[in-house]
Amino acid sequence: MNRRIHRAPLRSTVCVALIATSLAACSAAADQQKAAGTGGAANKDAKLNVALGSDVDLLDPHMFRTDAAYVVTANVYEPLLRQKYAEKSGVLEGQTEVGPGLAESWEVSPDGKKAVFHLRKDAKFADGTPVTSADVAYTFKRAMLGPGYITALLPFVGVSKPEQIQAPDPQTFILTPSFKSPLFERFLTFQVFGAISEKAAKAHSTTADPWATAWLKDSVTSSGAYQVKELSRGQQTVLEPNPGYYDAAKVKNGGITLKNVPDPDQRALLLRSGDIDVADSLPPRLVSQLKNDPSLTVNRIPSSRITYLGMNNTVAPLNDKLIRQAISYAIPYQAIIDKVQFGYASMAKGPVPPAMKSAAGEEYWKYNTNADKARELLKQAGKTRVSTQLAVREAQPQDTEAAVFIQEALRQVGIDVQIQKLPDATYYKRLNEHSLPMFLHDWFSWGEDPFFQMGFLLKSKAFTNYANYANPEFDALLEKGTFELDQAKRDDLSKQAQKIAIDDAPWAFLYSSDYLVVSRKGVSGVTRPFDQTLRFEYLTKTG
Amino acid sequence: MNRFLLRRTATTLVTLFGIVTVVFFLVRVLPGDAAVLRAGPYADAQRLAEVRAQYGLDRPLLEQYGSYLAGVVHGDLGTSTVSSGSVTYELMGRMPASLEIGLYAVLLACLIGIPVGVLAASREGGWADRVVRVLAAAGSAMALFWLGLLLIYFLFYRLGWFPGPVGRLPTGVDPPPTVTGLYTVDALIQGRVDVAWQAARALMLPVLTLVIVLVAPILKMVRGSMIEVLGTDYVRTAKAMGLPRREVLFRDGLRNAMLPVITAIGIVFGYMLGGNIIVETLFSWPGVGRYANQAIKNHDLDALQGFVIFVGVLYVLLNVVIDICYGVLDPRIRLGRRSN
Repeated sequence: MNRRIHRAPLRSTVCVALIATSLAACSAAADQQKAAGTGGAANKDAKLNVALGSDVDLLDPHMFRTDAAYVVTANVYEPLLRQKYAEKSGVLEGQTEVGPGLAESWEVSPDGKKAVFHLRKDAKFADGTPVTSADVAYTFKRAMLGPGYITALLPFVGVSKPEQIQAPDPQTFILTPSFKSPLFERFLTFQVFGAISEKAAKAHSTTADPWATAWLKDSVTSSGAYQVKELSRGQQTVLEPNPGYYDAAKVKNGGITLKNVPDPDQRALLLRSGDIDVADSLPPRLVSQLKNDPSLTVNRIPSSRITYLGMNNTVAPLNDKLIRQAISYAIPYQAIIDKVQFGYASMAKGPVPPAMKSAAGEEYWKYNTNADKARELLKQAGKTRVSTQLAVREAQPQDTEAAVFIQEALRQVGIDVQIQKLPDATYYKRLNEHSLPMFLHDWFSWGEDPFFQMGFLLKSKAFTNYANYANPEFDALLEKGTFELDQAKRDDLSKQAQKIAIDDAPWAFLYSSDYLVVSRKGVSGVTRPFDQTLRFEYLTKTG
Repeated sequence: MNRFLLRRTATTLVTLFGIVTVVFFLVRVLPGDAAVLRAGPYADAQRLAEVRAQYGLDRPLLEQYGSYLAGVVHGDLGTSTVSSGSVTYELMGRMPASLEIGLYAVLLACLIGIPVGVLAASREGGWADRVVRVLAAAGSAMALFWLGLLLIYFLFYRLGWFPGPVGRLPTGVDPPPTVTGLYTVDALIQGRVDVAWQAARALMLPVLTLVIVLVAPILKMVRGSMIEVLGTDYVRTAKAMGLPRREVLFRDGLRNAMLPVITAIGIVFGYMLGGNIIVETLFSWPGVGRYANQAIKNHDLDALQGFVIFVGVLYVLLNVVIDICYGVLDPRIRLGRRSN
């Protein structure tokens, strides 16, 4: 569950890429949703307490690394476009369409090389100054040229030079990408492109620090629904509604206090006692206990987060496809889902989990647990016993649990696995060197786009293709599909690629864990945006 | 006394130098590239080179060591990889939280442990002594995190006597303006008795958890040391001369028994300030221990290095204070005068 700090930078970057799918608009759509409260009227002035496992490191939207900082920046910086939401099992689920944000309308030329955004006139920063296209341009340039790790993002949609960013008048913002990307609009919903006040930033920049990093790490001139009233690292961050926000009337609560409660058991206890209203990053073990508490609601939506057993395709004996297939047959998928994830997961059945568009697992999946079949494949490979190592992160106890299930199942078919529990630093070092023979890992694609998912994880030579999978046929399908603009053709290419990957078994596709947020009864408006990071404007409670 | 202080300061400086050196080089041999960590995993070679240059990571190790050492002398423990903030500043910001919890816990543990230890020693073998010994054994056998969980579950969740583990103040109460950094004290300085009370309430459970565990070693130390002292000739003489029992116990007995106890208290207090990770995590307490814990989790080696040096300095200073206390308590070791 990788809501872990040092994955965050990765996530942000990736996101960009992956972003591909989602979008913004929000307010209008979600407003039509009924509040899912249980009796009593939702209270617009209600202040809610939300417990987070991590702590804010920086408030700089281009440099933060922790999940908590992600949550805060996502709620204080307003992007040009916003994701739309629709209710599903009581949760507001992010849709693939985008809607207006700071831009009330926009046009993209048919060749995709010119996008004109018309900014709303009533958008204001928390200090009362209007949000203009100059601020948006400043933000994009800071993202592109500034000190953060997100400089790599914009090239994904064909924007790589400052000349491609223009602000001809205060209400018009123009981007001129070098190619047409199906991800373009989704990309602009990223909070990392939420408007920073140019005036405030410039007032705090110096020659040594031209992008005001020293100031932005602790301060926000909000353009979004909330502003930061208090930031006490290690304790809490207090968000209050931004009075200048153009959509302030639609914010459904009177403010959010984010409590930093590092211990998950304490987060669970505080929920039960009513001291907090919403908690994130609770392990499935705790959620399975909390679901029986009548005062709580478990908000659960299948997610496209995938947990997989990576098998290094260039290391013997795993370089043999038959052996990888044997392993895939031997894994006790359902037992891991039931015992390790307490049922809060579903079979992944391929590199594109069921919750992602164009998932084709049902069609091509064949590895239902079958020890005889595994032994047979091993025999075909000319082996009776093989051995290898499986690396897990020490800090992820559920990975070790899953590894034990895998070890036992593989031992029974003649594959000896030695489990290596590695400290995170060692694990990631070796992972990034692509030198681990077998490893348990998980991944979430921000934009939930199958091509970005597969492109990052399985395309040959991709930096994050930790299993060194390489199949030219598969690569060709990805290249063709990534920029295919016809959705039906794109889905078809995606399915063909999945078919190959499932058969080649570069990983054992373990499971896809659910998005889980536990809240008090009476709380409604829990969101599940494309980046799985809570947005608070719809959150409210009765009483 | 002055000469003693002077000499003590000199050895202290040597010790500190050793700590900084060992920690600096130890951190360099740990896995993980600081530049990669700062720049993010997708940074290209050019960006990495910029970061290396900006943080001086491209210079020879000895040169880096030299500038780090120079920084430490000026109170600069470096820059955190994760937050890009000054490690000294961040540690000092968290110190009062650890200090407040540690101060009250150690104080209370002494207030309980010392008299009870004296009582047990004065009735060695009696029922009071037996009860105390059982309690002390129970206290030292109790795992801190387990005790904390139990106390939170029963006293907060089941009974509701104490506020929940959400840090130093309940939601909605603003911290008092910083004077000492101790919320209870600052609030009183401001005349805000209500805020002081809220801060005290938030302190109760974590302090109680610590006191239960800390009383045990203090009590055992006092008891053991007292029994030894009470068997000495001078105590027998004092008793024979008909001095009141209380005076014998506390003036002749306790004062002489305090030397090892002071050492134990000093070590416990150092631990409170620096290594109190379990209690700080359980109670969401924003102290120094949790800072270190986060630094480990985030692989923030610069922060970790700063923390280790900080704690090292703290221990060394505590030891100096303890040495001085020795001299105060026992004129025979009034150092410097006799050591020639």
